[in-house]
Amino acid sequence: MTALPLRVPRLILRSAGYEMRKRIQFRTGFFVREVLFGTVEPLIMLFVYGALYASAGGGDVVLGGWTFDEILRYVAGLLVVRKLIFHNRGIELSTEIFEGRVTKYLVMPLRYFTLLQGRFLQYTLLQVVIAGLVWAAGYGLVGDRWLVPVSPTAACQALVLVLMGSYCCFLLYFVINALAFWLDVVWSLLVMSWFLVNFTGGGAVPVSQMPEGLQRIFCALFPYWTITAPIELVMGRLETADFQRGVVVLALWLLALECLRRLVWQRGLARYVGAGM
Amino acid sequence: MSGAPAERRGRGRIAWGAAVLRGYVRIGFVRKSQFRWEFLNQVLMDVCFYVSFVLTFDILYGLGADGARLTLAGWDHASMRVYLGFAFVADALAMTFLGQQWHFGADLKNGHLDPFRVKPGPTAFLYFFQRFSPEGLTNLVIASSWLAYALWAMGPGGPSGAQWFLLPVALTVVAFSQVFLTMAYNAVELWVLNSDLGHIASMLLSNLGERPLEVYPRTLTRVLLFVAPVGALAWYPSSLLLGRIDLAMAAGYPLVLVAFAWAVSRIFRRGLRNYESAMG
Repeated sequence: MTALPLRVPRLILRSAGYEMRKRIQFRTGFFVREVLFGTVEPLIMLFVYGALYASAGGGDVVLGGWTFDEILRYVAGLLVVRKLIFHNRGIELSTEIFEGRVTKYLVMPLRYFTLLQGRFLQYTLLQVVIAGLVWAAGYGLVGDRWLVPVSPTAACQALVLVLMGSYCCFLLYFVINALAFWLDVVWSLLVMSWFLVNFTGGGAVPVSQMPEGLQRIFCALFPYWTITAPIELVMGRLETADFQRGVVVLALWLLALECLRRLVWQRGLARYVGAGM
Repeated sequence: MSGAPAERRGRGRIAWGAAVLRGYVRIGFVRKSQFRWEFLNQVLMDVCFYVSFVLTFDILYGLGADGARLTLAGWDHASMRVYLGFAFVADALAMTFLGQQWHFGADLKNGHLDPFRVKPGPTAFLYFFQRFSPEGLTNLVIASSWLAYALWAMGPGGPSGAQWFLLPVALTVVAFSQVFLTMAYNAVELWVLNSDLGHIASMLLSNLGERPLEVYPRTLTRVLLFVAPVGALAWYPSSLLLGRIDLAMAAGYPLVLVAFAWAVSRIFRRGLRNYESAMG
């Protein structure tokens, strides 16, 4: 019998391999979902910004502390970063609760959450490759106008923040899925949560270009440290001290979300009857 | 005399369609009364969508230093609010009446389209309109209120007489185009089964249409007006009401939409004939 500390990592790796095979089976769907996801809105944002800066006089005009060239690099960063953030449809727990299928996991000699961690690992490994390809393709197309890290350290720091933030999203989506123990249907909450994560993180407008009041609020939330802050680190607009602050903020959010996840899961299971709808 | 039976038949078809729609509305209310929280959540979800759009453009227009007035390819802040109003109304119309579109790919794959193909009526009508959404209707009220506010905020005294006259025309164009665009997106799935291409086309084109078309390169603008006319959902109605287009475009564009609807109907019908119901 393998010891428990060894069994869990092996199970995560096995689960990641299984999830990877499942994904690759859907070729067209795979391309559409994994490659095109997260590219449309940033590109549209670029056209909108282009028109806005043109109306302000074009050239080197600065709006809210950003030139158009910087916005261009920000959008490039957005294309890469959004690939790495865990998808709000990446967990089907709510459907399994709704249909009474959670029961099968309860009789298995493992934690259900461990399987989902395997999925998170699979998603991250695959998306790191895709994000790398997107970055390389963009660099090949537009050269130095594309987002080029100011230093390898800044790139690594940004990656750490994005992955910690992505895990925050993963926990958040688990908690929302687990609300299906009470609410039955939660897809609208998942969509809503993505609107909030995207907007407060800087998916529509960089947080540092927003009014002061909003900036102060959003800097305390994990989406800012997942989207805007990593891109600004890579651009050299933020420094190592900011990275350290980001790690602390994200660690606190991870802790809070993990506690919430355990609480919601335990309370939910206590009222789960396995009958489904 | 020969027109009378045809006219009676036409009236009979409309009455039948209205009866089917009434049935779908009743089922929609019954279904949603079982999920009260879900009702509230879906209303909140769309409110989040509206607020994030409004805030984004408020922030962008507020970026001008020292009160400088920025525009988006000629659209000032007040006009942009009207534009967003039509975009919200178009979205809410789709959510209210055409929510089944999100399941078209899966239903094709699982052979669930078959019951609609054997019913005595147009398959597309029976299929796409089956999921009436009361929460979508609530959002339609919210979206319409925003549109009314935006029109009122355009100038002192609110909309002019001409704008009042053109408003129902504009809304009819939005509803008409939304139906045929939905069919167009999903027609793709009839050929490339289980590809999610219908879904992605809908997301891509709707997203593009939610911003003024003038911000895009000219070729893309033309595509969005004449090939996949999402311009009919917000660009055309707001331009019509705000007097941003000339008479030829105002009067001629609906004809483009009718031609588009005709082509989409033909393509959809051909796709249905090719569909073999392979059950995944």
